[in-house]
Amino acid sequence: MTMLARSRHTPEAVTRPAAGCEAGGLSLAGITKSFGAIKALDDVTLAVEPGEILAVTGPSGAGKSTLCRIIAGLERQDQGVGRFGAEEFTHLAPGRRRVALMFESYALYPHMSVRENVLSPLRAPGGPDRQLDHDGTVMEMLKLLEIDQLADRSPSALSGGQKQRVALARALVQDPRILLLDEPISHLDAKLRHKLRGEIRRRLMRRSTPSIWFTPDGLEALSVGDRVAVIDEGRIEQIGTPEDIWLRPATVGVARLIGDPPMNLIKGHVEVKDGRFLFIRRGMTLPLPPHLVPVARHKVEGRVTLGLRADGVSVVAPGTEGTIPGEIYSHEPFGKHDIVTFSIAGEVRVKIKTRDQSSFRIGDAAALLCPAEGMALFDTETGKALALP
Amino acid sequence: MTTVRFDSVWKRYDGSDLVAVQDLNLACREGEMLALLGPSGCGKSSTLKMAAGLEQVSEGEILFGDRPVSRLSPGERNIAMVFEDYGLYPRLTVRQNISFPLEVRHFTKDEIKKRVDGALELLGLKDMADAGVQGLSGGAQQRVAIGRALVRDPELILFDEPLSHLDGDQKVMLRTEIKHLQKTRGITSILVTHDQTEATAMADRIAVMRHGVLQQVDTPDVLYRRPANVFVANFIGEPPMNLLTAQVAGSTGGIHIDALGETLALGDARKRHLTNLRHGRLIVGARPEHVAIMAPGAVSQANAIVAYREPRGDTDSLVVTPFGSSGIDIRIEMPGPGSFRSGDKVAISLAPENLHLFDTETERNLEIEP
Repeated sequence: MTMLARSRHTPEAVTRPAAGCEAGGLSLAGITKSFGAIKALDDVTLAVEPGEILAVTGPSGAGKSTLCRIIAGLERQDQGVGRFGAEEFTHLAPGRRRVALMFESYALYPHMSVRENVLSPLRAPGGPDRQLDHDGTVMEMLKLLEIDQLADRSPSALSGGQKQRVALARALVQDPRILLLDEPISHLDAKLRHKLRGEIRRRLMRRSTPSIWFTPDGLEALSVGDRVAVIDEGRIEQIGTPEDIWLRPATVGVARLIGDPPMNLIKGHVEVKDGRFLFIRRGMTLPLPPHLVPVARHKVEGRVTLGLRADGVSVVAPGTEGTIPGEIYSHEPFGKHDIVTFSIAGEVRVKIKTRDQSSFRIGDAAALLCPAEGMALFDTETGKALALP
Repeated sequence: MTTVRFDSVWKRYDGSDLVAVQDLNLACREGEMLALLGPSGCGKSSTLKMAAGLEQVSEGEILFGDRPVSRLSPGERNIAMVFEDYGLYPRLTVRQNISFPLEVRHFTKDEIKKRVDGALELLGLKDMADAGVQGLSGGAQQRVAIGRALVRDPELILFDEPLSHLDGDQKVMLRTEIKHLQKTRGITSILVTHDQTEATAMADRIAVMRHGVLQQVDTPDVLYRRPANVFVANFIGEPPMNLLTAQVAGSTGGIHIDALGETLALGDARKRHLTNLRHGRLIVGARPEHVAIMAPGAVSQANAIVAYREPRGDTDSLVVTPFGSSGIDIRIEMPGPGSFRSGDKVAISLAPENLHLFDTETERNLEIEP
């Protein structure tokens, strides 16, 4: 911990080191995998640069774990190829790939103590120099993860969250060619998750190893990834910086996954009345802002999904010009912001994140104001953000 | 509908020296949802079980309205419970699960149908009324459990960690539904949870407990703005409040914050709270959204370096380390996406009016009378 505390105060510590001796990013091209009739992965192509953290997120069953297992060599792809730098690795046995994998299921050795579990990859044949004294490295990692007092316990005496941290420590002490973290902090309590998310990211930023961090939590992905890949039904929906993903979700699937609360998605259609482009559904007519008119022009009468960012819309007094009428359905006061659920025509619920300190009473009539900013339009059939043809 | 009062309630378990609940005085008002919140071992579950009649009260009395209930069996209390693992009958359909409590109480067929149809409608379960409950999502199963609790028109509903087995989006959806239902039906409810987000989202008031002792009970808003002690300050709000050591500077109401090397003036109205501190030491609390951050250069601010940035959509969460401080991290939240990046030199400042003051020894909020 002291080493960490000292080094992180220098600006150098947060700059990524130059690519190391074995520098090489990871690239995957056209990875496809089926289990029987189910296509788990469909033409997955991505690259992770040396020192980069790619966060891969998606709902459960999206293909995250299969992708992780294919890179580790625990599963064989039907098609496609993976490389470290220029060197193909997907034909190698798992033990020869130098992949550090932290399993979601921990996979600790039951007969070894916590310390020995974390030490085990450093001692394994083909691992780093066996002459070195690794105890310092191991203890420092245990301290970082707040499990140093458990060093001599056996895994059976640990809680789920403690086991998860042992597995994480074991992955982080290694010097692999790729580090794969499969839901590394998902079973910890909120406070510890908050702290470790940042601590782990800070550590990874100082290494030249490419890392992939798999998580079903879209916000966690934004927080930890230099770039974020969103995967759904085995396909990559979008890869981009956290800002890209947040500001310009490429599909309904991406929008649904990201944000607290995520973007409101409302199905309807586009109509033109008196030269104005309108989004229409029962109980709701909304003029489209100028930036959406060029794309909406090609979807007139077609089914579209309107996206409203929760922090983009606001609740105002009923009857206000240019608003949508409805009522307050629920109200959650979080101190720094409130989340208000607004009900339109008894069937559409819109979540609004507001820093406005006014009081909201459940059942009160109110109106929804939707400024141009934070509004998006998707094709309901394809789920894709509307674009110019 | 009723009120619930815990009157000097104690709970000790046989064979244990630990006091699970210590001299609890707490009331749940009519139509209110009161949350019992705290980490594991704080006494919240023991309190709920005593209200339900599943545990004996060691000392004191629990009253529903004016009626003492601590000698009554669970069946004599007219309460309903919603459990974290739903507690449904796995072989029965949605409709059969919801009608079960009415059938064992020999309601008429017509009355059962009327009430169950109402509950199915209310909870959006109409389309799955005849489905087996095992195939349903966790969120739908919990709605069935809530329906089963509601049909009897109980005086009180006890929610025991109702969201803890659900996935993220189902959790968010159901907590909104529970709040809406509880408010529109005005059902007196007690909620037990370890998750401050859930308590804040659903409850009218929250009782924060620790080691069997009630720490503070108030609305989520007051707990956030005026936490009674360091524990509550740290427990409510995510990310937690920054807690910084400080020293009283002179007699003019100034405090010097160690990590920032900066002295702030509290003003005349507040300086009286600074007397009687041992060695003039105190803890200053600042919420992450109340730490201002800007490009360096402005006067009388502390310089710091951005250790890292976490983009969280509409919010940027930053950790900065002030120059010259020994490893102190300060968490800042600002509207996102923002422009500060890891390694940036920045200036930070605190507005005195947003600071919370705590006694270093007792950890109590200096501005709240005990």
